[in-house]
Amino acid sequence: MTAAMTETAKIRLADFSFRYGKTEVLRHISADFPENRLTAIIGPSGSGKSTLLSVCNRLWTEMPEAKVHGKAAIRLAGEWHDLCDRQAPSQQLRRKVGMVFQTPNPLPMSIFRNVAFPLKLAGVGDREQIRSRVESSLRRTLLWEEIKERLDVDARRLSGGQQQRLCIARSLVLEPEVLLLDEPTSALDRTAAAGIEELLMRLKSDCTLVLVSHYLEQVERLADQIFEMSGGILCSLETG
Amino acid sequence: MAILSRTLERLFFLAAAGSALLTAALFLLLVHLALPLFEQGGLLALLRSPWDPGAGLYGIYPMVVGSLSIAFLALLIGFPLSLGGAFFITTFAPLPLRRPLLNLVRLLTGIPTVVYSFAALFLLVPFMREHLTGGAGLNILSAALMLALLIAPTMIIFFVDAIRRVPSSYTQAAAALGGSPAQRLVYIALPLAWPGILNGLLLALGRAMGDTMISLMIAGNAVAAPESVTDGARTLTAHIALVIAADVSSLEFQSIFACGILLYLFTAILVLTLRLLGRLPERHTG
Amino acid sequence: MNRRGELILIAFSWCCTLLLTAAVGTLLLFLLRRGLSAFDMALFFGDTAPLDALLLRRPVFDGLFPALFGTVVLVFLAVACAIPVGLAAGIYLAEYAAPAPKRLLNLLFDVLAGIPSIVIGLAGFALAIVLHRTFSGRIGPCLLLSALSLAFLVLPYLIRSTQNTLEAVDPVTRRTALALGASKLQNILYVLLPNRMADLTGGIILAVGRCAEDTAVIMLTGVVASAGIPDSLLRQYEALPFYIYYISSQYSGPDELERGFAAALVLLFLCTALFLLAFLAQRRLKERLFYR
Repeated sequence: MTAAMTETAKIRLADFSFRYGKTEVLRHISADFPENRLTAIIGPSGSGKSTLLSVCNRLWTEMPEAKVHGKAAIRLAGEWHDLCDRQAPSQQLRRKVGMVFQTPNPLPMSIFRNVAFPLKLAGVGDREQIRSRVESSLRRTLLWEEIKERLDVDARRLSGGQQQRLCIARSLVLEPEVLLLDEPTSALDRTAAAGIEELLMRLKSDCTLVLVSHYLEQVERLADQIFEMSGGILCSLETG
Repeated sequence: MAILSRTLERLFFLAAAGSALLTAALFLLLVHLALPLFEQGGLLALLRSPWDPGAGLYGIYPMVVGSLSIAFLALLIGFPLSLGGAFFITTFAPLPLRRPLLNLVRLLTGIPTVVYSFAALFLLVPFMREHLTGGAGLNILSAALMLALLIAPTMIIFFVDAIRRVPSSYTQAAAALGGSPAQRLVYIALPLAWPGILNGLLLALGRAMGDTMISLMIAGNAVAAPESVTDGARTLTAHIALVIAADVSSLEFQSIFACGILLYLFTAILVLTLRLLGRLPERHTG
Repeated sequence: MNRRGELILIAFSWCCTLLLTAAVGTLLLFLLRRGLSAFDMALFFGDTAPLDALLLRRPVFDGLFPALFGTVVLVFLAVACAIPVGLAAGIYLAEYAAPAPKRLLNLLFDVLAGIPSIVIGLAGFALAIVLHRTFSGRIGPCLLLSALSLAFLVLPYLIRSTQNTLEAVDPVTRRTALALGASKLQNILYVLLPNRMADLTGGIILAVGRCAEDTAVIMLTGVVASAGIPDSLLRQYEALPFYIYYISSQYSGPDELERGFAAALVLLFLCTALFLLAFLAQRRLKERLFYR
């Protein structure tokens, strides 16, 4: 099996536009984000990168003034789902499309409960299953060894880098097919950022990653495909 | 789960809609019960005529005058005091004193009105009687003084909030140019904070018009329209409290619904005014 | 502004603050001086043994106990009615209402919050009249009517504090659970409300204080000077604020007046304590983990 054959689109945008109130945030975007690859989007702040991410998990439907045009769809478990439909139920979709925010956002509860929280939302009741899924998720993010003795500690007491890995672990616990990352390292110091980057490289094998970033060099190290966003317009850059 | 959440969400809506409907229904209920009175000549006639049940006159003109004069006098006394207090807390008080002072002011907003009135009845009123106004000491001035004290904490909190909401970048810019604290307050903060200050003032007016216990206990409750601040007066609110015991079917009794309607309308107009003020574009200095 | 203007402004601020402090201080010290002397068990229970009174075994004739009891029951009932409605309506306004209905509802609740309490009392009384006409005399002013009217009085505060509290949740926290697949309701119940428990509790305690001190509503809806302990919600009752008002106009001698001062002091302590409780609750709960 060659690389070209596995290159199927996970997220597809076609002539997609996005308005917030009267401002046009995204204009006529057409792009494919391939499966099990890391697609990066760079560009100045305010250019619409984060908005594009919020389209991919339908988080945009939480903004009353948002309006979309064109086509945007995501393929989950082999089936295409329309991302433009405001009325469609979003919970199931968001459980398969994880999102990591710019600043680490652990909820004010223990480390364990943070990671188990999505399972609680999804209605998983089996304690043994919860334990093992939390553990494997924390192992995937290389956090387990550091904190396995402190699972009952308030998550907000972790260091910035640990918090961000915790948030990634929290997204991974539902085994999402896609992970959206909104400048996940910009609030962290160098070492912590390097840790996250390494983590992303490992995740790529079984998860489609979409990374929004400020830093071209970071993106060049990590990405299989790079887009540049500017003024709401997306264009493809050559990968090095 | 889906059924439960739909039920809950419907309950949220019902709670909001129900509360709103009750608010509107309250007004209709007052109008309904005041109808017999309106058949005698309408709200305007009531507003103009005096209160003389012996002569069959159930006008509420004296109470309107009483309410307005007590409330405005209270504002007249309370506004400068509160403004000074707010200046003190935001600008001139020693730093370690500011927070405790503001918390103290917050605490004062919780003092029961009836406690204030009770203390004033046995302290301020005798003082008035013996040293200032003579008579019974139960008059507009006494009530307005107490009311000023009652609404001052509310005003101070609003004023402090308004002054503090002025972006610190402006005041810092002025400070960097050598402006003293007083100059920063007068030239930068006040011109930007005035909508908030006006807001607090109008809310205090509402509070003053709506107060019952102070005017009931220390304004004297005289039914004639007052002519000076040393006269006793009866407010709309006190009138309701005093006449409630009358025969339910009498015109005298029905006049209290006219008072209720007036107070309701006053509140509504005040709220609408505040809304319009809120829409005003922020004025800038210069 | 020249130096003299500045000095005048500073002096003015000091004077205003001192004047206000002195005025409030004088009134409160006066209350303390006159009220403290009457403070003992007899103030609350009269000639009845305290235990008998507390267990409602024997009535209290000249003590504050029935008034205090009435106030506590009244406040409890009123707040118990108002909290679920206030929370629900606040949640609806903050999370569900579309812009246009939200504007209308906001306006109505602002009006409701501004309506003088005596008018709310009048509405309660009017309701009693209407019910009286419809059901021929079975419902008059009573404890239940007072509690419902008071609940209506504090409803807008609860709605507003719930709404403001929810709207103040920062956008990141707001989206966290949504991005993890939470439904809107799950987000509200598991994240937004617990996240803001401190403010919610503070708002509720302040509503309790408002119910405890209000006199105007209850004097129109069923409080009387002497009723003892009511044995049903449809009876008239005594309450502390009304007792104070009643004493101020009807006291028969210095002893009774002393009791009035003491009662005013009790109410003052009660409301101060509630306020401090709200203050501390907001502080402590903010520091604590809330939902584990």
